[in-house]
Amino acid sequence: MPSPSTPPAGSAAAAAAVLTSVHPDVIRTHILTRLDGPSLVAAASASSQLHSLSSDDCLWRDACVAAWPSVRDPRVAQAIAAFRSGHRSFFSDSYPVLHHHKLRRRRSPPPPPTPPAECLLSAVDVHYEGEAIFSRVHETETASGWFDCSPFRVDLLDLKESVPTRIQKSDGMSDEAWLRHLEESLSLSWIVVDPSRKRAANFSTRRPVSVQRHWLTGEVQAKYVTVVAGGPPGSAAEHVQCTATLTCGGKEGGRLHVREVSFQVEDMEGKSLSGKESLAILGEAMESGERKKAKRDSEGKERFEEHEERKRERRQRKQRREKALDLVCITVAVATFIGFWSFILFR
Amino acid sequence: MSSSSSSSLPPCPKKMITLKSSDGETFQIEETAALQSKTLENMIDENCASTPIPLRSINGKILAKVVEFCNKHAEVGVDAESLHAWDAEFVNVEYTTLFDYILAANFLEIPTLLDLASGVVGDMIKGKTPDEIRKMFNINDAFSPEEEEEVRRANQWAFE
Repeated sequence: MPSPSTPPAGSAAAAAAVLTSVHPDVIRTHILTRLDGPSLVAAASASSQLHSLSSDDCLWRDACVAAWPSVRDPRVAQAIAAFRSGHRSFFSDSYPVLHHHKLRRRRSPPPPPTPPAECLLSAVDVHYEGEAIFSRVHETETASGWFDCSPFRVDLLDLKESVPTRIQKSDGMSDEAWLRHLEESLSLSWIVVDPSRKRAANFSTRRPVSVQRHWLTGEVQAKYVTVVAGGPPGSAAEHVQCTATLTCGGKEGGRLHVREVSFQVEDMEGKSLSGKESLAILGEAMESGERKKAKRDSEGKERFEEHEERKRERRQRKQRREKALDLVCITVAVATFIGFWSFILFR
Repeated sequence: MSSSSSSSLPPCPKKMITLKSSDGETFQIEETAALQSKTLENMIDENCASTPIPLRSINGKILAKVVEFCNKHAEVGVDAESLHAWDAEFVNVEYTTLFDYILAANFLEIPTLLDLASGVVGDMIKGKTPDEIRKMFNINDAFSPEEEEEVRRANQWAFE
């Protein structure tokens, strides 16, 4: 529909306060309800009147559900109801891209400790060409010793479960083009909700950082990686990667089935972090991570590649250090050997 | 056909009703077309439509367009595609007129026109930053500094 984005000259002055001339009810029920989440945020930030008109939680719930159908789940809805401004806060937390590269510097006095989370909710949605093809909510119990010590991993599907999709490879498409197509059109959102902190964050890059075919099973594996700060500088957990993996299989020429959707947290040496460590890192990122506007689709991938580069450098540094240590050990051993025999022979 | 400002009704086989705008212009509209407006429908049902109906909040220019819209949408045998194109052309106007359409459609309760016009306003807002929206609609009711601070803190990304 051609919209009058460039109104005739002179209308700017005539348009003075026109929006405010429209009855507030009409703005609320007919204009704001048509906006998607980001436009709703922009409109609500434009004026005091629009801000108060858009305070209705239903508006935000609709915007959230349109973006992530999994938000409809009663467990998620219940957690969101406790957020400061309900679905509005949830949207502001989860829609923009999470940036959290440095740990918050603790000033004295330290902030009051947040109550330990009893459970974490994962609200996950997969979209193909803009259409939701898979939505699921998973609740992770976090209040057990077993959770604290074992590697943190969330699996949305059972081993034998698979969910059919409408995705089908067109005939004659090369495998390379097919994987590239999936990389462009298969997006995933992994929102972690912490009901006790009353915060949420999206730990997915939306677009995959890599789509590969598994060498043995032939299944397509898409990875979505967000890198966040996890520990003091220099430690292996200085930056950790939160990886959501989407695995799709299916018969040759048939439709794809979602086989596995999982999430885990790894440090820079590739070690899976335990539940306790992961919980602290995710919570910190939710609480103090910056939220920024996504500038490019490839942004997440670029950040992931920078992280890979840092990991490589770290590995090389470690190897160099080990080599130097070896050299010192050998030198000391040889010197001791020579010294000992000199002592025996020339005394 | 709509903007004939006449005081004496020509003999007509169809039932017509007369609308009077805020600036005194009168418009005739077939009853079948007028039924798209819930407000007019109620008046017709209650037999209040035999005399010219005064519409104090709608001026002649806008009322002429609203009558045109109702006539077009009451036409039989118009395919959806050409009606869609006609609608798009109909709302390709400046903001003030668009807001007048919304006000008129709200007052007369014409859901099709209200949806169409508010849809265009919605499309205009999409993808804009708060500052652009403020400029576009010439909004002056600024936030108090505390409110501004609060809004910016919660949604800094929306301003980028």
